[in-house]
Amino acid sequence: MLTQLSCHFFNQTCPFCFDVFRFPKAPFRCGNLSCPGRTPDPELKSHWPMMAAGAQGKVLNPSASKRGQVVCDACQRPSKDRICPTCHVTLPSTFGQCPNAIIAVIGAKNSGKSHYIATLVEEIRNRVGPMMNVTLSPQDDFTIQRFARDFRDPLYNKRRALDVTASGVRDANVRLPMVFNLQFGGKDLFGRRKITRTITLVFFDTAGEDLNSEATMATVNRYIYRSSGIILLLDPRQIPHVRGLLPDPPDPGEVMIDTRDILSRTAKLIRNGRGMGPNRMIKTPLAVAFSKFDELESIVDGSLTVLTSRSAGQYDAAEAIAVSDEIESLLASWQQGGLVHELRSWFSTVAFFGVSSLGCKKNPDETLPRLDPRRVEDPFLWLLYRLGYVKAAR
Amino acid sequence: MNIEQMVYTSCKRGIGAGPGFQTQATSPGLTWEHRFELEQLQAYRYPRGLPTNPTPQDIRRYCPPNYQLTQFTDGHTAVTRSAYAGADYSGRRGNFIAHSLVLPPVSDIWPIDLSLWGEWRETVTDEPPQLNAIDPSAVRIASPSLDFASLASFIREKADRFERLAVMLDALLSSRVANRPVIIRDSVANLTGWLGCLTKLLPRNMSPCFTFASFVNSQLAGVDIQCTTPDSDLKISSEELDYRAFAFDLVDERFSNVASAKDSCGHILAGKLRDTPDWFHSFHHFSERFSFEPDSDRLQCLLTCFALADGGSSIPPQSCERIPDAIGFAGSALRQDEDGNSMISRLVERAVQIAKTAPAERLRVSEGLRKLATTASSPQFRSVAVHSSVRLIHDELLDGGANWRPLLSKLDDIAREMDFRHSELQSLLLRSDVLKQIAVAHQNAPEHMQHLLHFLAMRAERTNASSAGISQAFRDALASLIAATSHAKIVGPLLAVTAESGGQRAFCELCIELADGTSDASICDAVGMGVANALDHAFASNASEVRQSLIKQDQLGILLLELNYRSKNVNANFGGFLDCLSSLRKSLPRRRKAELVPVVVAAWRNASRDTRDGIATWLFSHSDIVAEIDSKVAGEMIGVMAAQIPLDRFDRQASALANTVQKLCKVARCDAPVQIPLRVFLENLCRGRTRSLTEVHSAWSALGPQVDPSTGSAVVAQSLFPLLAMTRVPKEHIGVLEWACSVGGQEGVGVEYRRVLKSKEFANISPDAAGAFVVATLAVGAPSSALERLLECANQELDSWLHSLSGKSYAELNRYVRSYQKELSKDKINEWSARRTRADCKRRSLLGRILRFVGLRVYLLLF
Repeated sequence: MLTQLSCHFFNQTCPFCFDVFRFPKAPFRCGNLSCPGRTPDPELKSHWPMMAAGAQGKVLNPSASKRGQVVCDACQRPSKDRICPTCHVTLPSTFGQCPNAIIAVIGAKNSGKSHYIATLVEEIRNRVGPMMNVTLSPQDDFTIQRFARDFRDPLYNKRRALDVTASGVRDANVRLPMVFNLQFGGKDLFGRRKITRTITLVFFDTAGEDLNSEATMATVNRYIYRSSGIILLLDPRQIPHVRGLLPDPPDPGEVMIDTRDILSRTAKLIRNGRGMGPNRMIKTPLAVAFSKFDELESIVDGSLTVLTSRSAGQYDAAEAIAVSDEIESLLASWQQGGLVHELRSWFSTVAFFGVSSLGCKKNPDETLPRLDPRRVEDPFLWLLYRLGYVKAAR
Repeated sequence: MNIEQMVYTSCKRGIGAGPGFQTQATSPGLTWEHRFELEQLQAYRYPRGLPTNPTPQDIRRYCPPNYQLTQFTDGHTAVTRSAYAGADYSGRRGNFIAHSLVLPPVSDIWPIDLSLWGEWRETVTDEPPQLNAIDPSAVRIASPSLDFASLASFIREKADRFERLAVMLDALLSSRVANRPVIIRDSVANLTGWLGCLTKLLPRNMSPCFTFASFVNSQLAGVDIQCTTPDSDLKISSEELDYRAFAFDLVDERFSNVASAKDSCGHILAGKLRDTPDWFHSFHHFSERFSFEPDSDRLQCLLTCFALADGGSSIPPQSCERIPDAIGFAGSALRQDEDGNSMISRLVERAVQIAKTAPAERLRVSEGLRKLATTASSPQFRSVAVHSSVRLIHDELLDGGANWRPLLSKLDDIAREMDFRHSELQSLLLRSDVLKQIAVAHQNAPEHMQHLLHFLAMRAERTNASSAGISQAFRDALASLIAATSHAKIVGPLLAVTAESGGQRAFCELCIELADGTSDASICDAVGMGVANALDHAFASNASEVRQSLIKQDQLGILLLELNYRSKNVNANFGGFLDCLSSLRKSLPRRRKAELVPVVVAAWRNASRDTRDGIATWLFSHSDIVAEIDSKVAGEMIGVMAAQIPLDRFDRQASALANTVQKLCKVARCDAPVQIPLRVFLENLCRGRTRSLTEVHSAWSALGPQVDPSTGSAVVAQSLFPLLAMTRVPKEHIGVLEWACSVGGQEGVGVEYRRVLKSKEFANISPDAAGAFVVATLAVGAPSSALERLLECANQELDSWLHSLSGKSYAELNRYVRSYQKELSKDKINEWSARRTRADCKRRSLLGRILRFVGLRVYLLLF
């Protein structure tokens, strides 16, 4: 109730174009396909041309709304679909009724961002969710189709590695967010089941090459400075010291990308986007996750927490701190103290994690011998914890 | 200009900032803007049904290359071949290679033909390839399968393909208006044929052109024609089918509803492809002169232009309807060069030829010329519009000129659009040789001549709007016209035209000019007719002013000519004749008043009966004219005048008129009409100068008149009461009624008799007259004759008459009736007693008294 009330008085952020607006001023769109008032929407076409094919429903003035709906003056049918005043994309149905959390997953080329998102969502939906009484469900048709087509089906059904992500410059679908609802279940005073909280989660998958230049980031990855939490994926095999330790180093084709450059651009993008001065630290929580951690088992101590234990039914803050300390010490041993120092000097809230999206090494033909994700939910739960959506186990 | 190239793929090294998807190489001449726009093209997405380890056959089946035509904002077009490239440098699948060719704005290469180009890059290399600009002539296009003959055979291959193609073309032409792209789902082998038909049947120079993609895996934005295969991920939902796209699913036989008439562009073009594929060579050669936005209306205009330019074939009726739009379209879409100038001249010439043979098309053609002048930016095009409009007007005038006004209006619009000088337009329009030719053609058709003169006058007026009179241009044109035709035939139309367009002053000037020193009777008649027509129509509201103007200028002769003309047509416009006659009567000096007499006589002779009544009425106030007329005609006039005098003895004006007539009779030395002695007879009767019925009888016998029924009715109306009041015995009463019936007719007498009986005066007649009335009334038996029916009516009125009698009269009446007891039957006596008793009771009752009292008061109040 408080969230619904607050959305009338505080600015909301469009999860598509990231412009800020007051929710009551968001227009409606008539959803009747046979409405005679359907016309092309130039605003939608200029922002999202792939969504603007054909005529769109009539844009209705929000001042005529009653009880959250407006009657279309062309077809006399009520509509509840709100659109963003700027880009005219239909907003999620729960928009304005629950808090939004934009989660940006960034990282260098081949750092495993797409695999991480795919396994994170599936792990929450199938393993972590039932344990924590949490439900993650896609919000709209686009999310359902895209997640199924580009993430779940290849990885879980066909058991093969995901395709390379096309650049957001070339593929507008990449720029579109995947919107999920995260529902927290509980019980009331009488022991009846109820939904205690709902969060709209917005995930962005991005192509690594889109983080290679500041200009591209500013146009394709504007969502980063609007995000509530950032998951930075690092491929430890791209650290020169680690490459030297590994018995089976990665293909020479995978050129080492300096993650510190990406980090620098991200910090600059956030500072510019939010209008922050150079002396202020970025308060967005940053989860630095080392992907493909299963491939490091041979070169790290086997008793490390990050390798031995798995998440329980609740978020364990102490374990997260322990894992973070372990990774930080590993980085120091891999001569990456500078990276840690930069992270801590730019971001006020940083934690380190080790994850493995696939849990195994890919076959040469890109198929997977098995799929065993490890600790992929850790960075995500830590972000939710830092954002105040979940509580730590006592 | 050369063709520039670019390759985009996922590679280790390229032009981008790092490894990954990026532009791998470009030719040196590719601009940054074109590169930027090509990088924005939609990525190639392969179908998810592709097996994990695909064979080359699988790739050919699932992943056909996508040939995509895009148009840049600067007008250039690019054809991009995107193809599945398997794994990228890092071993991950999903890579593709997009090889783009940027075509120059003006190119004779059909984009779809480039799908057969053999130099497309199909594999990704580690090192960026060396790309160079290509000479268009060096682009080797082996296109045997995409010429019009092969496309025609593709359409003829299946029976339903012709109709499908026609509907597809119509859908494509309306796709941008409806915001619904055309989606075609068919096998890979057929898609090229469909794309070839859709793109090669339409003119190449349409801008922006229709873009296409030969294979899409999901719907693309901004691409007009999107083709897909049965194995792709793109599923055509019912929403796409009905609302979002014009979908043609040839695999599952599902199609969107598209409005496509049998004479639509789609059907025309598809029919041409099926029947005469070579027609497209000449059509495309013709259409290369045009540049326009693609839509159905403009394409129809282009087809009409092609039909116009192709003078050998006849223009279909539906194309004639589009001639205005087609000419306007040609003005805006034709390239403005020498070829364009000659083409627009040819098109307009052909349209004018059509208008020459079909006058009904002239307005359409002129509308087209107006559009041409409005839309064309080339002064040569506009000049063609002006000259052709002038020709249209001349043709119209030569054919009768019913529509020259709207044509001239159009020409004026054109001239205004072009800031064309009036003198130039004047010299074009008023060419004396053309006018002479027109005048000679219509010298025996006054209406057509009037059109011509109207045209001249209006043109002159517009030329010099500030001048009040007829401008010099008009005079010059008129001079040539008069020289071409006989003078008299042009006078009437000329005066009418001048009156309508030149104003009062110009009209008067022209009248004077025409009538001055003319002795030719035909011209005089024509002037009279012209003046009369002008005053009746153009100066209908201020005819008297015009006459006064002419009178002030001492041009009474013109008015006399007018009067002469009007006297011959007096029945047609008697009011105009009287006005003219009155004006002249007032204005003519005494010595010239005699000139009116023959005109009046002529009018009298030409006049009908009603008109003669009118003339007679006028003559009452102008009786001096009658005195100068021949006695025979004067007698006729006096007779008609006398017939108009009412016999009412209380009408003093009638008495004065009667005196006038009597005097005229003396002057004209003719017998007085019968109405005059009748009036004397009635005067004597009503004023009591005739005191007995015997005197009346002798006076009437002396008159011996044969009065007509209307006069007889008037005589009866005037004389019935005094005659009835004179009666003393019932026989006299009956005798008066018999006389009245013989003079005024039975019906008229019945009405008059009843009126007299109900009158107040009849209640106060002498007791003898009253007794005669009562006894005559009582004596009547069963009504068998007209007279008895009259008395029967009187019998019915007897009770009310008795009630209105005064007490004294009542008693005397009673005595009178008793004196006739012997002559009346017993039943009649009893009847009279009963009536008398009843009337007495009624008279004596309080109500009866009150009613009589009130009735008396009301009578007094009213009268």
